[in-house]
Amino acid sequence: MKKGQRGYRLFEDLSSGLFLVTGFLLMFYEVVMRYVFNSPTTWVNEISTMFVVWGVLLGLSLGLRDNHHISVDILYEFLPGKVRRLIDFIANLAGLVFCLFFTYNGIILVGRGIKSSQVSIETGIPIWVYYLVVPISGVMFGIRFLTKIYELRHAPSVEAGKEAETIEHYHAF
Amino acid sequence: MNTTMLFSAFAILLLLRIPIAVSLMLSTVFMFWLSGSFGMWTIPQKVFSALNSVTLIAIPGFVLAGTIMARGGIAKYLIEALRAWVGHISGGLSIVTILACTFFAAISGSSPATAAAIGSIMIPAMVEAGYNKRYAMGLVAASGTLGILIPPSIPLIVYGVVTEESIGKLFMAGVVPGIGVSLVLILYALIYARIKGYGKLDKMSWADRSASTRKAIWGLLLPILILGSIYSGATTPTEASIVASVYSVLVSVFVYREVSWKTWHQILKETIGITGMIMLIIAAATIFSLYMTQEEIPQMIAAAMLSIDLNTALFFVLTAVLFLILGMFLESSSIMLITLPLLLPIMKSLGIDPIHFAVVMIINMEIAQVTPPVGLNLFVISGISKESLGSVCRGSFPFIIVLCICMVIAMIWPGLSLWLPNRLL
Amino acid sequence: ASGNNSGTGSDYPKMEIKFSHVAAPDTPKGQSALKFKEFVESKSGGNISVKVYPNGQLYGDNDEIEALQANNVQFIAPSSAKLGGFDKSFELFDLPFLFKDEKHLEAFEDGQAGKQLLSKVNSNNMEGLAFWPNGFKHITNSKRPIAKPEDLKGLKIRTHGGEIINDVYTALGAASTKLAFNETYQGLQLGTVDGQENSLVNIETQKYEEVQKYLTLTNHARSEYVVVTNKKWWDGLNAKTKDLLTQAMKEATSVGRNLVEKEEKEALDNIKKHNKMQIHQLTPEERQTFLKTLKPVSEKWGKDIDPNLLKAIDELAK
Ligand code: NA
Ligand code: NA
Repeated sequence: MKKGQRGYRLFEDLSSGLFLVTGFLLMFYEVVMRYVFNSPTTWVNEISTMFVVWGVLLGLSLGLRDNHHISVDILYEFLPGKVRRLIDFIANLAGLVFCLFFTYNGIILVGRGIKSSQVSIETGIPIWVYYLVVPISGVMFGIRFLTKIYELRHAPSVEAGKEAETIEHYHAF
Repeated sequence: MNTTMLFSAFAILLLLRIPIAVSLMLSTVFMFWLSGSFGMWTIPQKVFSALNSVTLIAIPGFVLAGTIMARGGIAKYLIEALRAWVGHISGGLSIVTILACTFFAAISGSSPATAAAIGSIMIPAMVEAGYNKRYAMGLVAASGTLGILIPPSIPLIVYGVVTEESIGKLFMAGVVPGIGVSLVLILYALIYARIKGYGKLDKMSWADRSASTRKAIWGLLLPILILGSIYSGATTPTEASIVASVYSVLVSVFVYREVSWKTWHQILKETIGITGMIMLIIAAATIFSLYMTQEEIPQMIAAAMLSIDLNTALFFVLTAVLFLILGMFLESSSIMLITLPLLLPIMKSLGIDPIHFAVVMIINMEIAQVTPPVGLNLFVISGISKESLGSVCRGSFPFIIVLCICMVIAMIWPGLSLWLPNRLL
Repeated sequence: ASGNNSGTGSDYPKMEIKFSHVAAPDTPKGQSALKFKEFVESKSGGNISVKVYPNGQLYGDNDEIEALQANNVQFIAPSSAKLGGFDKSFELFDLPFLFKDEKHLEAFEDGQAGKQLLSKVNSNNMEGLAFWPNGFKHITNSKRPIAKPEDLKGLKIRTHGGEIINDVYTALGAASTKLAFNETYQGLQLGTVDGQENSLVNIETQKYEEVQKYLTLTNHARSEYVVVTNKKWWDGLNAKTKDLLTQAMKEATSVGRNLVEKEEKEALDNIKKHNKMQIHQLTPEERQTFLKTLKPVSEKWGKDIDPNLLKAIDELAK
């Protein structure tokens, strides 16, 4: 179980990281081609941007896992523990609802793309291929909201909303 | 009615501690659902297309560059050098922070990118030197907003496109006020540091200063590389962020050699997490602003405010209030695209120079980046310093006042904005 | 048109129409949209209201087509090339030197062939209604005057992208690169790219003359918008309403055409007056040289474009 979780974390890191880094490297390649060799490509702009967008969307779940997504705790700070747990439950449930909405409509989006056979005018790649990331990222994001709900139920001692595992606090040195 | 419902829904979701991006989206989806005739499948498409922008990628690019600098050794040696030179002055590190932001603003077109790059280096440095963390966060959040006033600036380009003013002139107009805001921030920081007794470290010897500077030379070259690659025309600002990242990787791996595989993994995770958070909020704000625009909410607010008999002073004051309100919820490009077409004819009839107004509006947009609940710089700082949004807001509050004062000065003194462009173009 | 009680318009159904586009209100496209609004609202006695959202404040280049297909808006006016993703024929305006002049272009757009092209979006729940003009495209750059294909050799030209445009510049020995619209000015200023192609009106309003030295009036391609509506919604309208909207569209189109003609003239006059760019008008002989160099490109992409359309355009040229 523990091993499975670690594997999944690594999968989250890698899927998002590979797309992001590949996108950046392609942009760097474009700079070199245009500036050093004076022959810009016609495809890197679109493909590299797409890679970064995929990386960003696939990384949403990682952001939730590591508590990067920001919320407002004006009210929360004044509430007793029990109410806090209830609010945490509702908040994560709302997140899950959003992910279901996002995934469901993402599938429709991809389906429509397949039906219309629309292609990118830059590269000729079918547009639905680009949109595939929408439902995938929706599912991954949703899994993390589910995990949070699960943690709330099974780890009563953990202060709600805080990551069960240690967060590496940010220091430059 | 719709307006009230939208904002109530948004407020309730926020209070339930639902992430801001999700709150923005859910409240908007709820309103669209009520209207009954909206094709919901276009919402994920709009999210996708909002992110699908080469210009926007400057944000992940500079977040990555900043994180590598912060963890790969560049920041460590850079800060050691800075401290050797100005650490003995009271408030010296605040001044370094502001100057670094000013300098970085000249190479980046966006404020969050500026705040990310400098904040990841300077906040830990100030905290370690005994500065209050909230103050440090507020300082970087506010100084980071210089990114859109000092050229290059993405919002100034948007302004130029909508109003058909010369972008070159607009860029020029931002230079003097940009330096001015920077100086006012320094003044505030100096006074604050005197009161709090911040930042008097031991004075370093010249030998130490020169040694630490030599060690930091690779980091000191970085801004020159970024500036050079943009102003020589080698790269766009977005591409410059990638060049900076590649350079930082090379220096970290081959010169400083202090980074383990595990740290690289950390750098990547942090970049992904912070980037995802910011980009999702930007996308969500696009959806939120879509509903507001469709219902013509900003137009109604603007029309109500501008229906009275106007003079120049009143126009400036009313638009400032309008932008302050809109700036709490919307992103600067959306505010410009929505309001400028309405304001431009009034501006012309009152004889206000659109270049002068641009500068005032951009300072307003700077303030919008540090006002909750939607303030990109606040999010960036909260992300890189792992502190709550409330804490960052409290730290930023005094700086919002300082920026408001700067805005008023820019309002009543057109020459500040117009002198340089009129002289050079 | 068909109404015999033309005074009131009270028998039009009450409805609200949303029209989203990405141009400023005072551009020809913006003015056309406003003319459409004014015509429909006044002739329907206020029963039909048209809300125009300019400047891409509602939907932009990347999401307006989907918004239209979902009937979130009822009218959009994307550039023709954007529809090339559904059918390559929409990119024919990018084919080099296809149209001789405005007259030739308008004969195509108003004729049977134009209708045929518009109908090519029908299978995707869209209905093409009209072409709105933006102008012929010309080339500016910062390096040297351009009179023959060789002059473009080694130049980096910013375009709005597309496979045909890319091939055109490759054939000319230049390189085309796609910069974001709002980064183009700075890209030209700093030399990230050497030149760009655009309509005269865009060249003037974007102040590219501040950062470019040479303008060649090439008329080499056409920048054209297509007004598209949601097909299901359109088919659900009664005949009378459809008539009114069709007529309004005709009015709007003619407003746009007159305006483009007027503004192009003004833009060129202004550019001449400012005297910041050296202007070269391509002679007929020079045009022939370009045509010859670019023939392979026209032949290659001609295969992907409906041959009936190209034949019709060829006929109309005579
Ligand atoms: Na800047
Ligand atoms: Na704000």
